[in-house]
Amino acid sequence: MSLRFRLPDEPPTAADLAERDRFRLPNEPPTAADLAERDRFQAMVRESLPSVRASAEAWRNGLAAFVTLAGSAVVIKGRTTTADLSVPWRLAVTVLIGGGLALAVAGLWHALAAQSGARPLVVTLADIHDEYGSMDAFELALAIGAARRLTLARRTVALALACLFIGTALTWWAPGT
Amino acid sequence: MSEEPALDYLLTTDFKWTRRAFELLQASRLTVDPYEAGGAPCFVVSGPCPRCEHHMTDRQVTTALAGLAGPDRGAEGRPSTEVLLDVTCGCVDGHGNSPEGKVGCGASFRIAVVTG
Repeated sequence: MSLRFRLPDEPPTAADLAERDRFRLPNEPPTAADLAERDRFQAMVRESLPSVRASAEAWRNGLAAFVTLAGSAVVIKGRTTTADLSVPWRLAVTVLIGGGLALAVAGLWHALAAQSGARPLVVTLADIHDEYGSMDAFELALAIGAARRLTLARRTVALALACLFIGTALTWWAPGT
Repeated sequence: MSEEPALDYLLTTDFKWTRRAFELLQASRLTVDPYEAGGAPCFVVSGPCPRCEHHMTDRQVTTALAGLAGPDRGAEGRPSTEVLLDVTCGCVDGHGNSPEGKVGCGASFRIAVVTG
């Protein structure tokens, strides 16, 4: 078979050459096992958002109970516990306990946002395809955002617990008036 | 002039479909569009199936969220220089002997996208 050619109108651009080099011929085709693994992985991708939201819900429930308990203790016992402290120590305990409670509430807020989203989204399928490429990618992006919120919630609560612990320890050890 | 009848459904991963897909990619008849909005990498493969030549679109997300540590912890995810996509024909045109509920002609092929 003889081939025929024509002189191209223009040479390849740098972009044409870069596009040509984006792909290489694979060494082998996919096996049935590879295809099964691919399908299992896609199933795991689809589980990303539900699993993060379930984790956020568990944190939300625990945090809500903790904030209720700690807040009640502060309201009921706070005044009598600090009554015998000198002003500077009382101020320090107030900042630590109050700050710790505020941080715990902030942590609860972030856990709530991780579970149910921070603000409503109105999107079309075309918008999603234009920006994310697929529904799965869109849901994964939501899951990544929720997981970051949950990480922030955990760190905020860890800081809250440290403040509450130090504040409580101060009420035991601070000198009285 | 009559149209050629569509190929029968056949589960196949023969290397010739991977090679044909590579040729179609080189000719830009088959395209791979990358997306990475919100940290979710996605590749959309679009164009004629190497076997049946019917138009197909395949969307694959190449990362998932696993474990509860969050996306920033334990990030062993060094950026790779290549992404392998195993694509199965998902055309909506009919093929003889196609199992109930199945789309496509049954052919699967591999695409290697150089990212590094």
